Amino acid sequence: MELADTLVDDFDVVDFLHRLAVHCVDLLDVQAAGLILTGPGGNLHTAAASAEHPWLLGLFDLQQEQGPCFECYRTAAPVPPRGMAETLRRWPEFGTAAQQAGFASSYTVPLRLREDVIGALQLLASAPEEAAHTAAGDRDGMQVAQALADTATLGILQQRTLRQREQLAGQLQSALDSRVVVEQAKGVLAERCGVSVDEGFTMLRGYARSHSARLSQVARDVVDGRLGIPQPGPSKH
Amino acid sequence: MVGHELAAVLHELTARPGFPLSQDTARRICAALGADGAAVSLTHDGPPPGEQLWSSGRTAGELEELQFTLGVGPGVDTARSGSMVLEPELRTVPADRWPGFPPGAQELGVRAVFSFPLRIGAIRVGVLLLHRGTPGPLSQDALGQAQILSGALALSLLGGRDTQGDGRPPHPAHDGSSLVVDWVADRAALRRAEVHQATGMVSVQLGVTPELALLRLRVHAYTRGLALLDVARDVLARKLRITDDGHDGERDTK
Repeated sequence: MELADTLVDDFDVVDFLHRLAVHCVDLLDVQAAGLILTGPGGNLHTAAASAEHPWLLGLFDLQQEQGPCFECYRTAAPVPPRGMAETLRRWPEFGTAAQQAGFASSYTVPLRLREDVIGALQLLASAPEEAAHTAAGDRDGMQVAQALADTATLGILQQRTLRQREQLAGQLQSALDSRVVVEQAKGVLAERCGVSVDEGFTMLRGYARSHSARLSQVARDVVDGRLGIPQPGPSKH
Repeated sequence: MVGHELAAVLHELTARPGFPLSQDTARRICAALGADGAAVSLTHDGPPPGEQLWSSGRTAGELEELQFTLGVGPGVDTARSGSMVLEPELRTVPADRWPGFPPGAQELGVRAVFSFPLRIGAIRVGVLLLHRGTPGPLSQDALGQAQILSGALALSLLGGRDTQGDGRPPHPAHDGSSLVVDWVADRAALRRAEVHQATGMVSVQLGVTPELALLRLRVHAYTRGLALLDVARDVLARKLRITDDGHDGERDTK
């Protein structure tokens, strides 16, 4: 499946999800598809849809707190298609909106990897027979839908992990950089004031403390010649 | 058999991430990659090749140190470019490619050197430097395994919690993660602290930037066949003063 090729480090998540939604429509004989995802705050948002129609996006938007998508996310289980009467009964707002948009049934699968549930993928069909065909008769269709959802989940989780790791890597680089500058600053002070590097370190720390400044920034300023630290006076015992 | 060694290493790295690596892991890495030794260094904005974090043995450590002394070498190129550098035969390297490195390395008994970048996404965090006493390229298998290993080693630097490699995010960054970062940075920086201190001193003595000061220290070390660390120590002990005219004053310590 060519979508799997996109699971590399720097792929654009939004673009990936949009293409996934379009792929669903092509593959599964449904009329629309969309994905909702959890955001950093834990709320659901519409991540992508097979078409950028406001009425389609709106249909997913309203499922952030109710409807099959919400139920799917909450239960971490697929929500199979139901007849329109039952749909209207269970989810009145969604059912009405779906009808108005020309859809007769929906099939929703969770975006899930073990116990991590990050959202849902919903397929929308305009003819009830098609969704019933998908749900009841077409096992391959169901499996493909879940497989596509699983692909999306893996890609998104990997991308999130990578961002977190890149942040840590950046912190590591900064920490290392700061250590080097602090050592250089010790040498600068040792030479300028004719003291040992240990005494230079004491001077650095003292200055940083008394000026509520970060040690690494003080060190940088010393090394760059922007800051001269006065030598400590004779110590009192 | 080679595949098993790497699998054991990966298991070890994910079960017990972090440095130093055990002797067992070091041995397995070398066996899997057909190398005699390995060293890991961390890179940052400062002068390449960065800071040495770990080496499998004395030769590996001294080889990496040689690169730091000279400021040139395959690992330095990898640190700058983020690409691997493969040199299967140091005897045929042109003299101007890494001045001083091939003879120095051969004195350590090294004939082949291979360096790989350690990367997290777009960020280069370090270099894996492999060496061998017999010339010849890395096998295709070893090359592939070196790249996999590089990824695992890079993760290990962050405390690598993604043990299954299945995209599950690590636990949210809290004090645990930043402690790992601090520990790694401390551990690496302590090794060359004296060189950086001496760099600071020389930058004042000559009125130049730290980069130029380090270069002068390197020139002094190179022209006298000394280790950079030893030169740094002499500067700190005020036995040595680097001067503008190149006739660096050495005070008799008797």
